[in-house]
Parts: sequence; structure tokens; C-alpha cells
Amino acid sequence: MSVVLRLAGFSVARAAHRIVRDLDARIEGPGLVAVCGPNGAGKSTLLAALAGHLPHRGSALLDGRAPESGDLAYLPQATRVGAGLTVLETVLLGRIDHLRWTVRPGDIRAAVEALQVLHLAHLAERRLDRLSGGQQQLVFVAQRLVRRPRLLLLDEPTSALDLNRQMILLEELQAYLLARNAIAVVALHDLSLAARFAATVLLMKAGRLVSCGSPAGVLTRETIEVVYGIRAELLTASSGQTVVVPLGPIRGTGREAPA
Amino acid sequence: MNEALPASQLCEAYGRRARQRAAALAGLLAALLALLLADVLAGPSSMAPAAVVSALLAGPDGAGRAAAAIVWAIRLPAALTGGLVGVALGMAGQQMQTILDNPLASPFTLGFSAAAGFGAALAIMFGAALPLAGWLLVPASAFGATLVACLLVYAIARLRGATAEILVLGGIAVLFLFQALQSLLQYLASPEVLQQIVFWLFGSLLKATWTSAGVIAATLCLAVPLFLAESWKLTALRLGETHARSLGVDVAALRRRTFILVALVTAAAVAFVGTIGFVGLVAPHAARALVGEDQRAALPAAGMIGGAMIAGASVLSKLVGGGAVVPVGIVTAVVGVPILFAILLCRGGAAA
Repeated sequence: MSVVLRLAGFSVARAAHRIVRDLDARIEGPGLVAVCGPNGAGKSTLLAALAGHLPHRGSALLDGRAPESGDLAYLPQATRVGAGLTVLETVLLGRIDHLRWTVRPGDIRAAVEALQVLHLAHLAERRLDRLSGGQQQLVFVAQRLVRRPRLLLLDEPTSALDLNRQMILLEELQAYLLARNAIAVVALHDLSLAARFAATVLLMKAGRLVSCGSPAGVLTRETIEVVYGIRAELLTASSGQTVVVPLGPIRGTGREAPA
Repeated sequence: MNEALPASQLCEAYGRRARQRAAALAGLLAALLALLLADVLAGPSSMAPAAVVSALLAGPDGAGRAAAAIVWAIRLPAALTGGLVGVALGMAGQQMQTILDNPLASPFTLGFSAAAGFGAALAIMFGAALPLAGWLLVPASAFGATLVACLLVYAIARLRGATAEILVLGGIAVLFLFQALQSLLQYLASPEVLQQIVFWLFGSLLKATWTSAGVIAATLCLAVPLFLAESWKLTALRLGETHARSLGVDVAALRRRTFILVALVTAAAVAFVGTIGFVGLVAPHAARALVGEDQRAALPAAGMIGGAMIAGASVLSKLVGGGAVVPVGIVTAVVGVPILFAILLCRGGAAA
């Protein structure tokens, strides 16, 4: 049976401000769920609350049950990490719940496999603090994947990646999700990437859900205009993929121009 | 990209690294034991090394009364106390730098040493009025004051959340409070008492006894297994608070538990011998440079480097002082600075 994530009346308040308001959605997996919207729409807050790092009201159920910590893997927005651990040691920490005093071969093998999936095996012996921001970001995705989660929550995992690594990450992520019947809720700024890789798009604005559904249904000229305040054109590339081309901000509507 | 790297090769590389770490720890242990032995062999009384060894082997009730007294009642407890203080301060510094995510942190950053100094000064000034022996009262008072400082910071952390920032700021406030109180006592004290207080603050192993070695050893026996049991969580914390939390570590609770244990260990270490600075700052950096940041290795390494530093400084203080023994706290700081510079230079070279 395919995995289902159900949000009902999901709200998050921070210091008396409601950042996320009454989200209702039924998302059928497996696959990638792109959370899109302008800055301040509540994407990061939604992910942190789904991960249990912020208190929320309403419910988020994975296959009808509240997800346990073993089902979940949450990756916050990338910040520079200065630890001198090796890449392999870092990924190994993803299995922290299973680690004993002596590391068992199975744990190391799982970490190595996670590195291989994201084409990082050649970095295994390098120190984390000597890597570039993009390399660190991928290492942390590998660390979360080694936890074998059924619900991944990734906050802008492509923000520091070059085009090659964006493709590697999203393709391998898709393959993982299909193989393990899992869902990844991913905050994405790049609408073309969302159109290409997401099974479902959640479009948010000011804490509310504007639209939820397949990329083709959600990402239209009208919704992009309303949510982002820009004129945009949707093209179909010769490969059949949809590309969102931003043309320019809409002025004089009293709407705040997105940064 | 050489994606052809087979998994087995990487697993082997991990095993090799683990063996290298174990070898480094064994080397450190050997160095620590050698320096402790040297510390017992050296001393102001002109005993030949052979005589010291035979007195050691003969036991405390051995033949030569004078030799037995010098070795078993003076040198051995002093050397052991010094080594244990170093182990305690090195480990406390390592834990502090981890839970505060701050390379400047040491047991002294949070005012623990200032509090101990104040407690000792208080006992030196007013202790005569109490029907208690000074050798017991001064360490007890220093120990108690350290725990008070710890509880103050802990209470702030409990109320406002145990973030690194709140712990550091609370600790610095406590540091200044106890330094001011300590200055006040020094200002009020008579010249003789002032001299005693200043001598205590220097940090000297001459105050060491079997009691001090025993108390520090007992505290370490309590704290070290608890530290080691949380090695993986503390290693995860090196990645920063958000990552550790995402991996399921209750960071605030881990910080609070570790903080209390660090306070206990530091209090036991400084209560008997006074302020021996710098070990708690330098030893963790040296340990991480040597064995990496896996806390299963870094914590014991920091402890052994700390012990070796104090034992080495003690040997040095007996050699340079001629007849007089320079307080080890002074030597430790002087010796610690070049070590820290060397670590910083090596690290800079590797990063370039």
C-alpha cells in the first residue's frame, strides 16, 4: 500500500504570530512533495513543526499514525559546520540510535552505501570542515538517508549545490523514495526543479495553503502571479519538461515585491 | 570522481583509523605514566633515583624510614594528585568546549575557578574561628563555592533554556561576581592572611595528600563512565545544535547533565591544589588535533594530555627552581602557551 501523509488543521504559532494557518492536505506517496512560496510563506516553519521541533496544533499523520522519531529525518537549512569529523564519521552519526561503543561493520557499510548513492564516496576520509558548502549539504543529506526514514523533511537542500549535484540529489532522492515507499517534503525555491521532480506541489503564501496538487495543476501563470507577484511564462522544453520563466515583478498592486 | 572506490576499502579505512586512534591513546598513556614516574623521581631532597625506586618497591612501611616518608608521604601523593588534576581539567575542558560549542571554553570560563578561589579565601580568613582543621576546611569551602557557582548558572539555564549563549553569559556573570568577592576579601585581609590566599591561588602540588588524590580519583570514577556513555551524543553535538537535535539528541538535557558533572570534576580538581590554569583550555585542542573529534577517543586523550601536562610541568618546576619548587600553576601556564601556539600553527598549515 502506498504511503499517505495527511495534514488536518495544521497550524504553527511563534510568539503569538500564526506562521502556518490551518493546513489541510492529503498527500499520496511515494514521492517528492515540493513546498514552494515566497520568503516568509512559512515553509521552514512548516518543516520544523512537522519534525517536532516546534509545537503545533492540528495533526500530521503518516499512514494514519503520528510519525515516530525513527520514521523521521529532518534537515534544516544549510549552515556552515566547523566540526573536524571525517565525512564517514559524520554519516555514521545518522545511525546514532543504533551505535554501540564498538562500531559494527553493518553500521559502517550502511554509511558507506549512503555516501555512494550521492556520489560522495571519494570524500569519505576528508574532514567535514574542509569541504565546500555544497559538499557539506550533500553529506548531511546522506546522513539523514542512512536513518532510512519514511518521512524526509528537507529545508532547501539544493541551496548550495551546483547544477550537477542538484540533479544527482533529486534523482537519487526520487529513487530512494520509490524504493522505500517514502515521502520527502522539500522546500524548494526553483519552480522548474519542482515541476520536474515533485509528485505533489504545496504552494504557500503568508502561512496559508494556496494550492496543492500535481505540478501541472498547481504551477500555472495565474497562481504564480498571485503568490509571487511576478509575471511568468511556462514553457515546455523539447524534452517535455515544464520550465518556469520569471519575466518581471508586477508593480502597483500594493503587493510586496518578493526579495 | 572515482566512484569505483569499493565499499570494503572504505570500511577498512575506517578500521585503520580506529586502530591509529587506539595506538595514539596507548602512546599517551605511556607518556603520562613515564612523566608521573619522573615526577616521583625528581625532588628537592637529593635522593638518587635508585633509592627512590627501591623505596617505592619497599612500600610505605619499608626499611629506610626517611626514604619511605619522602617517597610515600610526599612525592607519590603529590605526583598522583597532579596527574589526576590534569586528567580532570583536561576532560572538563573537552566537555565544556563541546557543550558550549566554543573553542575558548574551559572549566574556568564559567567562573568555577574564581568561585573556588573565593571559597578558599573565605576559609583561610575566617576558618580559624571554626573547630575544623584547615587542610579539610579550605578544600571543602572551595568545593562548596564551586558548586554554588554551578547552581547559579544552572538555575539561569533552567529558567531561560540551556543554550550555549545563556550558559556562557551566565558563567561570565558568575566569574565576575566571584572575582569581585575574592578581591574584596584580599583587600580586607591582613598581610599574613593575604599571603596565604595568594599562595593558594597560585596552584601548588605541595598541598597534595593521599586524601586529595583519593577524592579526585573517586569523582573521576563517577563522572568518566557517565561521560563516556554519552560519547555518541556529544560527538553529534560537535555538528552543532540543530543537527544534533535533528538526529534525536535532547540537546538541552545533555548540556545540563554534562554541565553538572563538569562542575563536580572541576570542583574536586581545584579544591585541593588551587588554580592551575590553561590545562583545561589547551588539552582538548591538543587531543582533537591528535585523535580527531570522535568523543570516544577525544575525551580520554584530553584527560591524558592534561595529566601529562601537569606531571611534566611539575618535573620542570623542580628542575628550574633549584632548591625551591616553583608553584606548578605558574609553570603550567608558561609551558601551555607554546603548546597552544604549536597547535594553532599546525592547524593553520593544514587548512591552507
